[in-house]
Amino acid sequence: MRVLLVDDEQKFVTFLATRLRLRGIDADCVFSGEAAVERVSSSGYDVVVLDVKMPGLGGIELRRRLESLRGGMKFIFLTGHGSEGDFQVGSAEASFYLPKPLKIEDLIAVLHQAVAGRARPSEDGR
Amino acid sequence: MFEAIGGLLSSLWPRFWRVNAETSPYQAFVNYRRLWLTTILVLAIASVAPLVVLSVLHNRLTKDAVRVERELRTVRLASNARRSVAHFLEERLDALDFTGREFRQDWILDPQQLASVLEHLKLGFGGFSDLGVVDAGGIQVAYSGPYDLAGRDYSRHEWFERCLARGIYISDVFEGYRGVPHIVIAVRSAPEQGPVRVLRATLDTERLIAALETVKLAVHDDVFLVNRAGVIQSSSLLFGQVLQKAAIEVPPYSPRTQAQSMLDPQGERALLGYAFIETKYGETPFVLLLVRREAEMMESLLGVGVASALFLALSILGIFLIVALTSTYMINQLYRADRARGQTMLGLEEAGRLASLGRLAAGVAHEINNPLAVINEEAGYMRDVLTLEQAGGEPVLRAGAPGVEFKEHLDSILECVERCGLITRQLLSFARQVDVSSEPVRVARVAEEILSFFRKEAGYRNIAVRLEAPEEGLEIVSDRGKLQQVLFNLLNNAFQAMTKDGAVTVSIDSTEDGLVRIAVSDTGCGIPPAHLGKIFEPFFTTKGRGAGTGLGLSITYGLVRKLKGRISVESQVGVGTTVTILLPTRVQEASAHESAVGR
Repeated sequence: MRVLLVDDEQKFVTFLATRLRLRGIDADCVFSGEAAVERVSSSGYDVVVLDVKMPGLGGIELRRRLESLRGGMKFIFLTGHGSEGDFQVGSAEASFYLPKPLKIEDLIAVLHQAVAGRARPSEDGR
Repeated sequence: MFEAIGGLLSSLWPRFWRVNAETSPYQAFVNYRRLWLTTILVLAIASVAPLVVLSVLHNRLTKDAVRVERELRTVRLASNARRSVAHFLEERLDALDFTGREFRQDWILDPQQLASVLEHLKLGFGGFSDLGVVDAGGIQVAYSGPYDLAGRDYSRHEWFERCLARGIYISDVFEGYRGVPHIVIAVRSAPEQGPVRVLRATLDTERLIAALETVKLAVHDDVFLVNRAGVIQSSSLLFGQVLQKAAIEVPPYSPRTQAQSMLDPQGERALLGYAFIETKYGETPFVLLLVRREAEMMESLLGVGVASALFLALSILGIFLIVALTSTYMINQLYRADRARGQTMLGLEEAGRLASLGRLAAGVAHEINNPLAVINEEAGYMRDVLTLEQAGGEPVLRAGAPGVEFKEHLDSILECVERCGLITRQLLSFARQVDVSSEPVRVARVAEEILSFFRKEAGYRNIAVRLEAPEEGLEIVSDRGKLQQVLFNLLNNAFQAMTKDGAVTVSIDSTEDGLVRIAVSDTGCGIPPAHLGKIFEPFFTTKGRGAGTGLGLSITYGLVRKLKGRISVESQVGVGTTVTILLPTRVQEASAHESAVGR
């Protein structure tokens, strides 16, 4: 499975990508929404993991852009906020929503769920 | 019962009197003392003025009416007196005339007969003291009376000539031989009744004076006769002795009784009624004068005046009392309500501070979670590496350099911990509510601290944040916590006014009059002019229900006032808003001194 990680926190995405690769997942990372758009337009991914809040192009907007650019991708949102409001926005916009800092096992589980095309978390008993 | 009275009394006592709006711990927008005085003044004037005007009008009307009435009455009295005098004279002239007609035969010349006639006249009319018959040649041919006047020649006397010419004669008063005032009257017999003779009689004036006396109504009323030259003919109280020149000018002739005002010899205001006395036989030398003092005539009116003045004074006093008590009661209620609101505001301020803190904490959590996430990944990575190596898999790390790479990761982790620490320190500095109310504060540094909470947010929303503080070391002695909260509230408002793309500028400088100016400008939605006047009022909000309490700016206003500062807002819809606060470089030492300074 091909995964693209998007976050302005460079070290975070870099090592997350490395760790995913150690676990056999083909993960790339970019540090901004704009870079993500560029990357997606050149190559395809199965899942995009992206931060809700980023300078410039934010997560929500980025998802819209990427979907219009290339269909069929799954999206997993990350947030450092974990506030009620953000959670509601995230749940409405995305099937998958994870708070930072995250456990890599959780992420991998969600990645598999996403690729398997499983239902939304709400239908998953959440 | 007593409690109720006590409660009422305490609500009528001006408890707001000592409240100084500046030093009150609550936000007092009203100068109660001035409001109280104004209320009392306006209410009192509004209620007393019509009363006074009415009273004055009524008083004047009454006085006018009384004056007219008095004049009429004086004229009437004078008229009565005139009739009495005229009647007295006419009666005696009639008697002489009758005697002249009845006794035209010569027997009247008989002294005994004449004495009998005089006796009858005395009995019938009174006032006669002698009687004489003068022939056409002026010789008194017969006389009856106390003196021996028979045979006197009156031919050259003025009275005789006038009597012959006009038919009657009435003399002025003169003192006879006995020193008793007398009048001489004379009637000429008609030529067709035989030989022309003149009947002459002397009258004493006692009865005349008695007739005048009956006219008097008050002690100081003076009624007397003068002749046309102003010589007093009957006794006067005020104007001199009989046969002296009266201390009053004889008024100009008038056929009717008249009244006019004057000053009597004692300087009292008086009314003069006068009448020129005429009989059916013709005019007389007498003028009747009636002098009545106004003060005496006004006595009854004076009583009424005093009563009504007393009533007016009591009414005004009553009105003032009621107005004062009502105003006090109302202002007390207002003061109580304001104070209750002030107390609520104090509570709300605390609530507002906590709310700011809550908002801050939510924002800060994000900023802490990011470095935590980095730490998580770095540590996770190192564990991954170690786990794989222990499992005997292929070495992940570059050969021979595990220590070097791990050191990089550890450095990175420490850096993230440092980041978290900085954020928590900032949060703590904001949250700390120290009791010290004034300490040296670097305004620019505080602004930078507060701005740091907003920088990330600004980045996400592409909002440029600028701090313009040309005087780097500008320092004031103030309450750091309050200043922080003021700046946080203002910046929070600025950020709420913008959605995306814009600029927030905090500029700090000192003014010419030694104040520090902090201006927070945004390029947000702006405030409509209609709202500008209300934005500092508690609970004013344009946000929907549940979105805002409407307390932010109100609390900020209260805080700035506590810092002895001023706050003002300029705004243009669609362009942006600038909130400016002016702070003294030194907050007056403690509140204990404030009342003494009288600020």
